[in-house]
Amino acid sequence: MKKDFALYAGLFLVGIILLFFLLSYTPLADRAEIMDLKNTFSGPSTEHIFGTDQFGRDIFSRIILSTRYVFLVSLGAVSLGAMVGMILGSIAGIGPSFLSTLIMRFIDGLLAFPGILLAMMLVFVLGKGIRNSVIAIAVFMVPVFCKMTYSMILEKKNMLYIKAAKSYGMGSFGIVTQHMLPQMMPKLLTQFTSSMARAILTEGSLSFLGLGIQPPAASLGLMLSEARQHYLSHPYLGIPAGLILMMAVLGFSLLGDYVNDLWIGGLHEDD
Amino acid sequence: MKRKKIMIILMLFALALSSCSAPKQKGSDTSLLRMAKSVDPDGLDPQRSVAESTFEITSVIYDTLLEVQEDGSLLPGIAQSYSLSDDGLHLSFVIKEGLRFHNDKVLDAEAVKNSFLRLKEEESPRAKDYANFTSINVLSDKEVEFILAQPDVGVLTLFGYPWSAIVEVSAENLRSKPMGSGAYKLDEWIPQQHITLEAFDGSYRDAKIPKVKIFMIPDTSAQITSLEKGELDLIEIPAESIGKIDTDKANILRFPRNGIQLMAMNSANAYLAQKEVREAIAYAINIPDIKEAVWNGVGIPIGSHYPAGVKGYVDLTGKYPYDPQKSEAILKELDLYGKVKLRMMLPKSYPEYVATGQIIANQLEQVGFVVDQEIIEWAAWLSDVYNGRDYDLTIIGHTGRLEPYALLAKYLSDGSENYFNYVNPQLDDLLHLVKTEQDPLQREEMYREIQELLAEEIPAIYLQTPERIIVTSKALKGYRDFPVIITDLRDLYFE
Repeated sequence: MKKDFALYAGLFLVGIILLFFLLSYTPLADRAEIMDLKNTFSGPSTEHIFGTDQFGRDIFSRIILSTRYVFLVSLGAVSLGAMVGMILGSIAGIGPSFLSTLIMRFIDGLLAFPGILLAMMLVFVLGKGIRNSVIAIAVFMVPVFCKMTYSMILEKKNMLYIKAAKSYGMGSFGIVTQHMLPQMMPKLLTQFTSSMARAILTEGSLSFLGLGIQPPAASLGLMLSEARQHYLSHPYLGIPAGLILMMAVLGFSLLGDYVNDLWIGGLHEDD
Repeated sequence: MKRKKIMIILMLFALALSSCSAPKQKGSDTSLLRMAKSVDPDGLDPQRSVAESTFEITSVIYDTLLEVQEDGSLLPGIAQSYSLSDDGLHLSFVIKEGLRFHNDKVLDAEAVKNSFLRLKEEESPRAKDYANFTSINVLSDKEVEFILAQPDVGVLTLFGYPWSAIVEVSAENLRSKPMGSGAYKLDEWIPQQHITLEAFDGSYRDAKIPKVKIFMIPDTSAQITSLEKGELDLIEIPAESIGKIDTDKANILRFPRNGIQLMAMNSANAYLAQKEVREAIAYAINIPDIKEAVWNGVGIPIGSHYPAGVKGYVDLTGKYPYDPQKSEAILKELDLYGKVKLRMMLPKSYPEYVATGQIIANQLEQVGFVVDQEIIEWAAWLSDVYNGRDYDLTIIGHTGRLEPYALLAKYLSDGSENYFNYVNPQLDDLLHLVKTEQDPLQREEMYREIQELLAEEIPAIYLQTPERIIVTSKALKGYRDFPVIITDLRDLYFE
């Protein structure tokens, strides 16, 4: 029962985000950067479903455009982070021991930084913008995927079928890609889904601090930060962006939990 | 257990209530002036601070040799008279009779000298402004003389700024126990809560209201509510709050500030070095709309690098009115439509400049410019934009001084503060002339020429002079506003 609820709620929320993502490629998003200084801070109306912001821009258009960026940045960052993490973890797992020590200590070093701090530092070094925030968030996704791959490879390294494959003369690369990776997939996918939630939140935080997506482009964090300047006079301004951000994070978290229960945790369940 | 919880909750409530130390006195006590400030002063020693919040209060407690008037001119303060020698190197003041500090010590020529020696000390942030005085001599009890290393047309203004206040140097801990000779003396200062002042009867011009209480209330909305409820008499509010004031309950007073807001254009950029491109930019920007959207319609339009309301100001607005078609036509004629890419750097600490920049960027893109906005930290703005001059466009405000030259010297071709990278020999000549010209009428004429030149050449887009908005209770009268950070409470009275 609880499990199903997580699935449906998660699917529902992620579905909304996906819908917004698709809408952002329709003409509905075209108004996101059009200013109308005579019509600022207007409330919801048939013309502007969520009203307009401090420059008279349509908030709904900005929301769906933000959803596009948030989705692309998070997906890109997690994919990149997962790929690099898996490669590093595999090298550490099957490579010579000095290399494995080197890589894993480096990963420990990365883990020692709080994620958002690391991302901020990278943005300062690389500069602001969409591409660099993808890289920054990806870097802080690397350790968890690397550690996961590494531990799973160590676990499987001495299994009989791996030894058998070795005795037939199969190379390390083939063993990892053909015999180990398929078995790790469920765990990695679970991690991927829950990492999405973290990536969305991090992207939001970076943009809120002015380090992510730059104006005039739209981003949920940026919209929240702009709304904050006007919250005394127009308190409702931040609500749409805040809600969508919450829905995206909650949706991916719930979905991640469900997949986790289904593929991994399911074995230990009491009922 | 449950009772304990309730007790704890009640205690927390009590604590929360007791910490709300909003002004409680209501009604019409005409012997007490109640004001609110949003920031605590950074100490009450005018010679050891650069904070506006300090000068707003120290200017009430201390006196200066000369008093700044509303239009920026100077009248004698502590000094009865002054004289400047023909070569401009000897400046002497005669001090008024019978002046005393709040601790009853005599304020004579010696005290003035000691105060300025303290201002010239290393710990003083303004020391370098006074470095031109090589020595200070006491000629008699009442007469003190300043020797200048070289002539300076703005020398008198140095004696009107709030940091040139005469302090009692032997008093201990001026930071928290200010000792001046002003019309009010400090009664009590509880940081983050309030400051109370009492009228001092030994001043050369007495205050009309015997007691002043200044509350620290960071939140503007709370200040407005208190004022409208009759718990405060005088507050200052930001432009965006002007719509919240109920004019049946309070008076709104608006004064031009001594400053300007502009969009600087870096002439090191090959496009921006062309006057035609700058013109296209000027025609593309709808300043009245920006003023409405960002500043709630508060602000005075300007056409040049000179604050409205300051002596010698010439109204040069309307030289480049909003005309996007013309702007687009210029760009197309130069074959630059869609080709001019500009980097706009906006200082994050000033949300209104960021908002202005965003609107301008939008307006420029509509006529065929490409603008990349970057919002940067204040420290980065100072180092990269102002000192490093690595930018194309930026929005910023400049605070004026009493002598306009200090503001205009930014345009000297080889000036260290010429972050416009603007070079114009004609302007250089005028600036060099005005610096040494002693005749005020001649100077005013030169300032007029400079303003006209800048308005024509537009090395920057001049947006507006900001306004100070003071809100008072209906009964309070006599408020005066000055082009420097000075509060003068002496003339205030209740009707």
